[in-house]
Amino acid sequence: MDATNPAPAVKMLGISKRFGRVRANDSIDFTVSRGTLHAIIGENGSGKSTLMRILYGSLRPDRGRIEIDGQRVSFHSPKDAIGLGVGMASQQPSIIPELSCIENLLLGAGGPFLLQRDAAIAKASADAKRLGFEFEWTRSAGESGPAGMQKLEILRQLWRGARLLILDEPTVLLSPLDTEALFRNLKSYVEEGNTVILVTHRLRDVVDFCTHATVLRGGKKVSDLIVSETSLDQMSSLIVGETAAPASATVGSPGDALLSLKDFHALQEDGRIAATVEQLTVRSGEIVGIAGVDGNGQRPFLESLLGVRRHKGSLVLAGTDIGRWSVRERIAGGVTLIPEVVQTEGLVLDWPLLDNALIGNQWRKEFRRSGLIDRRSKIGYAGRMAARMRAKVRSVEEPAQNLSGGNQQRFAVGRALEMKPRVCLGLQPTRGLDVSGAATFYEEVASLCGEGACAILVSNELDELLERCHRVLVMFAGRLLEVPESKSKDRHAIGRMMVGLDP
Amino acid sequence: MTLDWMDIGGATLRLGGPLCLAAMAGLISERSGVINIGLEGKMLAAAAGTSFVSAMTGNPLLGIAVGIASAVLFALLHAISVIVFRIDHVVSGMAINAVSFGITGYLAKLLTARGADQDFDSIPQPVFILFAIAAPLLIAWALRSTNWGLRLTAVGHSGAKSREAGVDPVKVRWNAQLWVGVLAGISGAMLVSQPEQFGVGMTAGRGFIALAALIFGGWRPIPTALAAFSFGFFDALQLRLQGEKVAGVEWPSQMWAALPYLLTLIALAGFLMKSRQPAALGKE
Repeated sequence: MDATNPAPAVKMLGISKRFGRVRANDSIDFTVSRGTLHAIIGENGSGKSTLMRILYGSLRPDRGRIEIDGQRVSFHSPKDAIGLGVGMASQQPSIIPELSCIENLLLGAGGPFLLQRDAAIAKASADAKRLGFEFEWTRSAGESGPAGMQKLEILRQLWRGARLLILDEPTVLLSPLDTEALFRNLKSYVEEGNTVILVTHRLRDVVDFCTHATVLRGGKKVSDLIVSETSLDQMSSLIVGETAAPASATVGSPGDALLSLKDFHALQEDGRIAATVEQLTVRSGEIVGIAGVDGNGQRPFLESLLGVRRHKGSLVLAGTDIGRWSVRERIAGGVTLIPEVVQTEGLVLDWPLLDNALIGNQWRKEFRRSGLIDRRSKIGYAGRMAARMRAKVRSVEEPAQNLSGGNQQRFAVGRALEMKPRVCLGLQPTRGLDVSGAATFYEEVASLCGEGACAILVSNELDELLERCHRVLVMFAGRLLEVPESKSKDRHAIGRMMVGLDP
Repeated sequence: MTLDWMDIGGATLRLGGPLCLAAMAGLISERSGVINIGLEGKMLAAAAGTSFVSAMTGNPLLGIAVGIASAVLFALLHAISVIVFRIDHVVSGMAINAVSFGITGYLAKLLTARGADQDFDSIPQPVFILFAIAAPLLIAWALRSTNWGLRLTAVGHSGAKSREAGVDPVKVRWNAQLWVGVLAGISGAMLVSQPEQFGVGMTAGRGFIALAALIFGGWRPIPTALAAFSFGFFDALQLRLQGEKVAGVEWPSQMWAALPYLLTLIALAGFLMKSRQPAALGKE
């Protein structure tokens, strides 16, 4: 790409792509000027990821033409796109957790026959610094957790010299500090004549950082916007096609204590302490939000509540100590966990939704008839799960991998809610959900809690937590911290606590 | 009872060599995500090809070349079935074993019926032994230090993600199968270089013992090679123990003959739980 070339960085004309009977993209025209940060916004399943994967060469369009810098191109695989300086950091990172961080960068980057690790680490460290990231290069990427892999995915594109960077939901896993650093650095990146396309549900990021935005709905382009000439309200109404109802804050007041923890320690496999909660009481009807930078113990904490991880200390549910209960007994007792990465931890992607519906419920009486699993009861159940979070599902017989990322999330969340838990635990439960999906989720949780349940939700979306939860706690360095009463709604104070400073 | 340990050491190298080479073939295949249960068939084809052509032409190098070519042919057949037609890897491997057993057995019978001389003069064994020791070292180096090795490992963990990273998993797997053929071919040629005559079904499960060594070695070249040579050692030991009195009793020879297989079984049962196999193995 030549910075003086007057042609737009990207011009996509009449792009159409079908999956079975679904038109994922329906003659979309999409143009991005060089040196801009251009957002693509739209609901789950509106065709954003499909369009971007076509631009990156990992999907081939049924119809339409693509021009990069005024040159017509035809990509057979991502390799062709990479060769023209197109890079894409995908929503489900293509980082291979078993390889080391540096090997993930080296993979597919061409280079000489012999790997030059040391030189690569030097170069990668410099690039990482530009984005404000840090890595342990020779350790396996999986050890750096989902957020680390997401950062590595973004870094990989820069490392390969991408001049057109596609970021698909880059910040869902990142802490507010990382996100801010990332966007600050992306600004200087586009000022150098590069281009960024940002696929996102966070309209706040669009308003704060992007210059242009394109809205998709139902596989069609609805509008091209200049961000400085539009508003949050206008964007959100274009996304859903009508003016969205204002988000309602949580209602109802909590009742009696339902879940109590005292001197509670979630343990690692080797017996060391991964997270500590000195004292926590969650009352019936209460939604508790946990804010924190990824990797500060949120995950082991919730996992130990479900029992997939051991703990020390007292864990009392409705007057009964459930500390010695097995996972199955806890699920039967009403504890449920929405996993952090639904695609790997919540769904078996090549199984039909029907069977996925049963995971965690397989022992329930209602699914059994004469000792066997009753297929018909499953169908209705899976359908209700999909409907609860309005996942777009053609048939419950189709494999989970046929759904878009957002719809997979909706289905898995719907499954947890349909189990009618008494204690609903969520690790980034709205990850990858659009505004209306997230709203539906919180309304469903509120209605569960209205019936006497409680919820503990871990999220990076601090604004969401502040708006939807009765109270927000902070997890830092493995400790659960109370926010002082006077600052309980102060996002800056909470932000400081998240990095270990005084509120 | 006295055992000649120098002799057993030599026999260990001779018997462990084919196992080690076959295990390396399996390693390259499985590190690329392709299950290879057809090592046995490829070794057998290579042994037959080496033996028949060497005996016919009197040129052992030409024999080895044809032997390797036969193994490569079967390896590419496996590649076509699992990469192109996406047939179950185990089914394809079993089919290759059956076909190879049938064809080589038929050819051997045909040659015997014609009264053809099936003996041949092999190239010296130490050449094979050197190769069997060098191969795991070379492969260990290549996996750690070359782009080829990185791509192979990446594809074995996830073909789809490798593709997103700009690697063509199909190409990598085809390339891997080519090497599988070459290594299994040399393994078969080495196997037949000791009796210097092909025997029907002479691999006698060695392809599977090689797979056991691979699992035992955790899909890493050096530990896999050590496991293969350990099996070779027990094979050598049992040959020497047959007919010997141990603890004052002359045990039935079948019991000793079963020893390497028994140890394989125990090793697998004990270690399979801790195995760290490539994530995409047999799935793509």
